Amino acid sequence: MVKTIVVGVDGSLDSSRAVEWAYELAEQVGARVVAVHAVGLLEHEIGDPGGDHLRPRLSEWTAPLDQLPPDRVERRLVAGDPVGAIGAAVSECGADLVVVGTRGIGNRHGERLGSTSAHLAEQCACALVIVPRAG
Amino acid sequence: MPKLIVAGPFAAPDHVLAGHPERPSRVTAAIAGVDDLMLDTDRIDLETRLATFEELAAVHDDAYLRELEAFCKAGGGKLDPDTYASPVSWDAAREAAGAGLAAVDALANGRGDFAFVVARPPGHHALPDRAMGFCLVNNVAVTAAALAAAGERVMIIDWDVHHGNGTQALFWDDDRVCYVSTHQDHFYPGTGALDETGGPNARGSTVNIPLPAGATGDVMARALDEVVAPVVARFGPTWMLVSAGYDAHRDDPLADLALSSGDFAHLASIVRAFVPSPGRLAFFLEGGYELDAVRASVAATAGALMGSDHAVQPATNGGPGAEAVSRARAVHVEPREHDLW
Repeated sequence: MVKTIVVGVDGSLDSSRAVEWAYELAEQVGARVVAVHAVGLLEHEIGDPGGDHLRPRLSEWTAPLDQLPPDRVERRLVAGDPVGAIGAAVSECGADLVVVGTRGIGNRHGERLGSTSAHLAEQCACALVIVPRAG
Repeated sequence: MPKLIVAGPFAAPDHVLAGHPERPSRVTAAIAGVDDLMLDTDRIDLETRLATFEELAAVHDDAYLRELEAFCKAGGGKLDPDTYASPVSWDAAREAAGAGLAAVDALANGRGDFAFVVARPPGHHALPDRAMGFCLVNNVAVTAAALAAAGERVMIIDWDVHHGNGTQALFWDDDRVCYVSTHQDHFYPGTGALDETGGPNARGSTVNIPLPAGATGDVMARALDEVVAPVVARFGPTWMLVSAGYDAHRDDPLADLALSSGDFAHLASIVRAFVPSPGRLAFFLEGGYELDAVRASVAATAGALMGSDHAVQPATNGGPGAEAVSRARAVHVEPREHDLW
């Protein structure tokens, strides 16, 4: 039984599909969803080391999760790159499933290098779902 | 008068992405800081030397290196939300890593007393199997690995404002290399907590000193004096490498520490005193994104090594962080009677 789902979020179309997929599964099985956005070097703003200025955007990117009971949704900003941030969240939450899009705001489809999903496929400590693109 | 070996400037002018803060002018600013010292015959400039695949593979996975080379030659692109590569980035990374190797070779051959590697892209976030945080290849780690393979005991002091997660990971369980980092707490890349102290075969050889936003130079100096100095005495390094980022400067746009260029002169003079014998100290440019701050801070650092005063800004004090240093001392210094060393 899936109890805790970590979904990687970066504002891309692929990540939106991952959020929708995670929401639908969570609704069916009663799971909790932890949405994780990695706060990179370029997103830092002086005086806001935790990246709180990103919270409104994270809420917007994960709007489908508002359909779940509030106590089953958590949104996290984690410093680092997406692979490390998702890995840290899995450890801390005891997640049993990770959901990500095929490709985020990074590079060309089909390349391993720079692909969060490809790295997670090698390193993820729990089950992983990579939500395919439409079409 | 001592002699300064300069490996660079290797600015990699075509490793560039419009609007990105990790840009060639950082190296131009850093070398201007060295030029400001007007060292004349006391400065020895090294030629380009590309690190070989085998030298890089001492710290990086073969598959990652092959993919990085192919990725660059295919045109490059984004490697993570922060990190990019262009068609020339593979050679730029080899040049930056090779500069460190050339610098320690020159020091080992008695050509100078200190070395400064003025090259980019920076390296300390690069992990064994992936690029990260503007870094493709871990330059200081490539050099440290080569020294360790030759039987040396290497200490890396990383005063970049960001924790060098890549360097830490690469030597986590290797008791030949001691990694020490001062960095802004609760900040990118999310690693570098006090309790990260090394793997089972190298417990105590990772020393993290996270500092709060606003920390000033006196706090950094206290960290070196009260935490790092006892670690140096215990570890007994034969070489000292410094990951010299200048983004802890108060004018840097990417971080929140509050150092001045004068503080870097003080820190360099403290580190110089740690070195076990002449000609065993090399500095590697890491971060630092405000060009005037980089220039002044590099001049202050190199000036302190050479015994001349180029600290144009006064040292800073009064910022928060004394308690953080005390906590680091409690973790890294006080309970070590039972330790490996």
